[in-house]
Amino acid sequence: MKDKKIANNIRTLRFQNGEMTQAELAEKVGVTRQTINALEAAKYSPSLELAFKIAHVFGVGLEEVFQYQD
Amino acid sequence: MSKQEIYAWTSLLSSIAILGFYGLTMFGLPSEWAAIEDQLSSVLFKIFLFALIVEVGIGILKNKHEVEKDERDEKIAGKGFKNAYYFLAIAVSFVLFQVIMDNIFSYAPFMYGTLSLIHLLVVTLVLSSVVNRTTQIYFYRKM
Repeated sequence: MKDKKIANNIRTLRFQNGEMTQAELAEKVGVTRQTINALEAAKYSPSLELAFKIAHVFGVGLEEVFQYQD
Repeated sequence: MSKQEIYAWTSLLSSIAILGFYGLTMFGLPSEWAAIEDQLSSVLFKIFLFALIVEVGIGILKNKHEVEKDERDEKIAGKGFKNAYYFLAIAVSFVLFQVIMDNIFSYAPFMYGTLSLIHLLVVTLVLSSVVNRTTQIYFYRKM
């Protein structure tokens, strides 16, 4: 939550999936649009469950969405 | 701004209004500030009413597709409650310290008498709510 060790490709994946909006993704994974926005800005690290849900929506593996940076 | 963040703002406003109104009713201002006291009471009442209307309005205007509360909201709420608990624990310990000092060591306490202690506890309770909501707003802005 406080650091930016977990990077993500959510924004890129949204645009590759029919220019999906933040609100649409939020609805699909059951969170608020503000949470998706915070995730994209790497201000918030999601729970494992939410991370899997997001990867599932895009039909890719977890590591294609989130990357842990040392 | 998410619904939970708006609730945090409205709750903070209403807590401040209640605290101010309580202070004015119980202690008041010096007599030469009587006119200001009336104006201040009116402003505090309007703030409270505004917060209440916004909260009720948001409750009524529900979007079926929108999630009310998610894991980020719960995490932020947890941080708020943690800070409020710390504040409350320290404040109650302070009050107990006053009572112990008075009863055991016959030391003149900072707050004297049952009524003063009640005032202190009421103010502490409302302030802990302020601490809770302020922490939440800080993390909503930060994350």
